[in-house]
Amino acid sequence: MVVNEAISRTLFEESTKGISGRILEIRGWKVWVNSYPILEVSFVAEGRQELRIKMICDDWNDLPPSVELLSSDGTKLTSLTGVVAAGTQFHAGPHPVKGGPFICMVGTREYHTHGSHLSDLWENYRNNERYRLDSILTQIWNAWKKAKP
Amino acid sequence: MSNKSDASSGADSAHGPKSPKPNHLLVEVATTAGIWPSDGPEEVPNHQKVKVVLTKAADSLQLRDTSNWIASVDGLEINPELNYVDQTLAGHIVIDYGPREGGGGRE
Repeated sequence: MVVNEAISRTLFEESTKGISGRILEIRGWKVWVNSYPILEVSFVAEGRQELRIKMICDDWNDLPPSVELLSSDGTKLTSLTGVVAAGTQFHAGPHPVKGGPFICMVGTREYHTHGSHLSDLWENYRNNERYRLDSILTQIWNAWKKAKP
Repeated sequence: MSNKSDASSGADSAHGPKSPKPNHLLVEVATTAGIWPSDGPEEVPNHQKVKVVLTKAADSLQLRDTSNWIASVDGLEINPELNYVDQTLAGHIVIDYGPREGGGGRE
């Protein structure tokens, strides 16, 4: 089903409007793009390589965001080495559909389209506050903080 | 744990940041739904459990479900069931509040 773009855009904007101002300074977030359908934010911390997260939110929220892992200059990561430790949420890959390293966590398209989790439907989560776009991004950030290389 | 103290002890608003009265501290809660309180930090007793301000923030910011959320100060997770003194928190603190990372898949 193709979600109505106007509805998708409205839901996107409602879910991302708080990603601005002081919270960015507090968390060490740098916003590159916050305009439907893209939310692109870097995580910055002392002693860590910057990790840039690109959430592609077409068909939000019928579909979860597709999450790309980028270097600070915006190029796709081909490896997690030196950036983040592969483990529970960060997967070295390759993703069977998209290829490359990916985030394997409920709320990402890469999780719900992976053969191991096809039965764990996004439909069961999409209306939960924990799976708003800002909340998914926060979850990824919390995972990143713990996954020091 | 963080122990942030304002340098300007006893300063008034015209000359510098406010300092908390004895046995109190200044607290803000930061989320992607907003910062609580919106008009500056709340002065709270330092023996109050952290969860009191988290509940106030959640109500004010209309956060319906904060189960499995984590609270942290300066990057270190704190325990909402404990008070500020027990966690060596003082002065002016900003509590970052948001959902804990979900479990990863097993491929």
